[in-house]
Amino acid sequence: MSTAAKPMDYGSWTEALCSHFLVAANAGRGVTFFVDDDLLDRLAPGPKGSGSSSLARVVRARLMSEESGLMFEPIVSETTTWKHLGAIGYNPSIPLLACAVLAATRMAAEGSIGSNNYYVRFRSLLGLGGSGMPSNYDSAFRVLWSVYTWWLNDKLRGSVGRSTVRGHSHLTNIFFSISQALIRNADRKRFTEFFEWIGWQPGDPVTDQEIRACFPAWVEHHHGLGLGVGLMLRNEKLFPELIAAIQSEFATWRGRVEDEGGVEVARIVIALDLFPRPRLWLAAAQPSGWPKSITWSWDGRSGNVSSENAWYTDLGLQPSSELLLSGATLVSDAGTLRFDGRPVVPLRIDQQFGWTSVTRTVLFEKHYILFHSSVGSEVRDYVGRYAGQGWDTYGRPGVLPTGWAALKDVEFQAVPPMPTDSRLASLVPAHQIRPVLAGGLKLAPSGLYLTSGEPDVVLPVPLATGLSVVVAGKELPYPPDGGTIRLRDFGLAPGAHEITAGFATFVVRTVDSLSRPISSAVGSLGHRLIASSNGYQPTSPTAMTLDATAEPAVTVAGALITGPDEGIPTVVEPVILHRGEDELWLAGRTPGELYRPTLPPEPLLGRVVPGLVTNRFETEPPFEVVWIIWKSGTVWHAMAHAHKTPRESAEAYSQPAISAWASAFSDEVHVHGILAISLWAQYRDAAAALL
Amino acid sequence: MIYHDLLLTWCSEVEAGTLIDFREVHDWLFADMAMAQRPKPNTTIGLMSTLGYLEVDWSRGGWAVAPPVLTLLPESGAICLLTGARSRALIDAVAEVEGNDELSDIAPPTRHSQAHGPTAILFPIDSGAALEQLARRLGVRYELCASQRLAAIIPSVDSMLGQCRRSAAPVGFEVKRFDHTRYRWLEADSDSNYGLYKYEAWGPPQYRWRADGHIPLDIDLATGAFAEMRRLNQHVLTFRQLGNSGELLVPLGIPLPTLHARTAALCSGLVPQLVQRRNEPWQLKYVNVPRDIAGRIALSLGQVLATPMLQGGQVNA
Repeated sequence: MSTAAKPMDYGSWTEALCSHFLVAANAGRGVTFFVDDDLLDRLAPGPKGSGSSSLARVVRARLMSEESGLMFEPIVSETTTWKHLGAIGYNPSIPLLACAVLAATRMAAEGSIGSNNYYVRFRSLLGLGGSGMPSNYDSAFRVLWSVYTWWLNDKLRGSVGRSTVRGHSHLTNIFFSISQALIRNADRKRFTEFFEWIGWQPGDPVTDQEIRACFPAWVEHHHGLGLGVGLMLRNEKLFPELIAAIQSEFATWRGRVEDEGGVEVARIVIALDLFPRPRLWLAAAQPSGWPKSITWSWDGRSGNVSSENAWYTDLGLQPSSELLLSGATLVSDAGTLRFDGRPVVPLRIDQQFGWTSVTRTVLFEKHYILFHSSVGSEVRDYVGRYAGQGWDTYGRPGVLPTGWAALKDVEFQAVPPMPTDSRLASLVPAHQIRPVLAGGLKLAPSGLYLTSGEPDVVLPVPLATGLSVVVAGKELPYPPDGGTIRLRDFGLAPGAHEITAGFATFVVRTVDSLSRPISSAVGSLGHRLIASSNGYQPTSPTAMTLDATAEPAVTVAGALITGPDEGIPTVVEPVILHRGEDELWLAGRTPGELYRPTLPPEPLLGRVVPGLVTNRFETEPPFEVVWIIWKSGTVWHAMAHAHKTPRESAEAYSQPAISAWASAFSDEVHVHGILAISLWAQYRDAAAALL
Repeated sequence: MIYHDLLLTWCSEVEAGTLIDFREVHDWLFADMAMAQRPKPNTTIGLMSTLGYLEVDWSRGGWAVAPPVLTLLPESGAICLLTGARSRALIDAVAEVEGNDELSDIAPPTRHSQAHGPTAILFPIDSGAALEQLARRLGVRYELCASQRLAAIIPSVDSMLGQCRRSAAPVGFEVKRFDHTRYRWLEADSDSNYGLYKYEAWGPPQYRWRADGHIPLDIDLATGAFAEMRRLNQHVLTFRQLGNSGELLVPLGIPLPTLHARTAALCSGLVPQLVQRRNEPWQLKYVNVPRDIAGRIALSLGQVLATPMLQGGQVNA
């Protein structure tokens, strides 16, 4: 026994449409009430075209005759009453509004927007005779779209999406419906790819002019947008509406690429193992909120994969030549996994699993460049021209798919020009779409830089003409081939400086110094060594965080050596003496402690460092020096090196040594320093007693 | 060179950071240098660490500037070096000391610009007391002679090996084997033989030293290289006596461990120079190293110093 599907009535259509469009995933975000024949067929299963017929039939049954002049009044009346009674349940005008949008999508699909075209399709859909605007269409739809917007934005507070219905200065009555017919929700999600491509960050100031200049360039190389978007791009009257829609989507963008359902897309990357078993394989980044295990399906194949460290490793999908070129969109229970196929794929080392494909190359990083034979000569030529020396062909057989080759150790050390062949675009290091600040001696994440360390402004090839660059009030031409402006060459004084580059504006703040006391971060790393019978044992193979609570040890932080007194070796302070004295003696406290230093050769350092002049030398006599005694010309001088009183004689010294020591302390010596004179007298008395 | 000075100033202002931050700043600063002359960030930060300006935690990918310190250079004719953090406030303090005629014991510093490191700031002093006084004026610590003290505590190869753990080699990356004859890395098809291996993993390269049949040791390049030299009973350090001190020559491919390199470098405060004689492998030359310090470095690394004969004060090459 077969069961025929029950025909949908007005209430069923209301519920089906609302359930489809107004969902919690759209909370706070613009939602387009985009109705086309395909959608209606999906909502009302049956032969192709039966959905629209069903919808039109139930709506037509609610309308009065056109001759009455009140054709839409029953639905308008029901809707306003519904609103006055508190808007409980679904908006009763939804099926009629869906018909209005369907007429617009049919018109847009044929590439022509105009009042007459619209009304022809609207009348045809509802089986109305006549031509032109149906009676009371203008007043009725103005009210109905107004209530629709109130319902979403005010009554429901955007909890299931915000209205994107807009009016238009020329297409006064019909644009409310058209505004829902040109941009699908899927298109809105594709805009997130545009945001990522251009390099915007959530919250960036974005001008309409920038969108006008850049969006067409993005569309040129990215497909999958609806016909309506293409129509808006070509129609100068509609383009501002497209820009407004992009602005609206950007205002709520969370900085990630999303699928049609608003779920973050999991990006699939190519991974290259080099050792011990070279192989190419696919992995996917795990978006936040995705489960640990997922099941995917694509092209009749399916697989299960679990995540590890936020990656779904080895999807079990063979990276065939066709897949690498054409890409794939895998469907999973958690969301969409997307691999963008392209003929040139840079790979860079990733922390998790080695060499991994990236969207673009990065300056000063080594890359493998995987490429299809169809662009082989172009890739080799470009790399040969602009990459640093040292790259080579990756020659391991049996690793890459048929028709693919790879270069290794490719490193760009300056931003090369954009290749004329757009297939090579991924070779160009990032920041090629929108001017960006790059580098600089940044002191804080908020854009504070050290003076003389101001960042560069990297200017891509402009997508519009008549742009300029303004640095601290000075206007410069925007180079037609792009380039880099070094702000550090402008001699900017400390302070805030506004930089305008094309459509982008930046504020760079600079200081000479953070002028803060030295914090605990200084000297926070160092080497800990513990004294043992086998010498000093390190406690780690590299410098480590010095923990004040750790076991006492000798610590070395730069040139500073600290630790417990018993654990740390001391160094005898050398006595520093002047070269060029005729005669030089050092005397200690104990009779017999007398030392005549040998003048060493000129220090090697003076030969290595030009301009380093020293007329001194160090010496380390075998006792603590108290007196430096020297002869200059015919006069003897003495200077106290330490203020220590003389000791008794010691047996360690011979009588001749003691006598020599004693004879050094004579009355004929010129003693320098007031304190030293009395000390010298004590030594002189001690010496006299020995002679 | 000015870029190294700016880099040191930046490090001193931010005080600590990650190797990724350092690398970004480094690559940006040196971007307009000719490619052949452009230094690699790991080389630069390694040299800054050698000279005591900062410390690097290679295992966690972090760095922190060291405290600013004045230290006497041995056998230098009473020259002291200003090393460690060099903020703009400290640079101003140095300028103030320089212009102050009342400080009779302190001569104006010599600023020695270097191609591969920050400008060395060298003060001739009259006495140990003057060193203290200068440190006080600059608001920095002083270390009587850091190189001599370091020479007394540098660890042996065995004690450094004791800190290395056994760890399987990283998978998926290119592997190279250390060539002990020319001190360079050669591509390898296998890492199962005894020897020192290098893996080009994410971040700095990783090294494994295999000297027995067990899991290899996860090791740093310097420790691994000297452990390998000792295993092969190969002696690679050379000392040339020149006056009261001399030059310590170390193969470029076998860098000294951090503290050993610092011990040698803080004898002069200068970046070791890259030299090559005839067709021999490149060497790093540490200048003004006293013989006893060079000897301690060699002993701790299981090395015997080669001391070429000199003729008339010149090296008999």
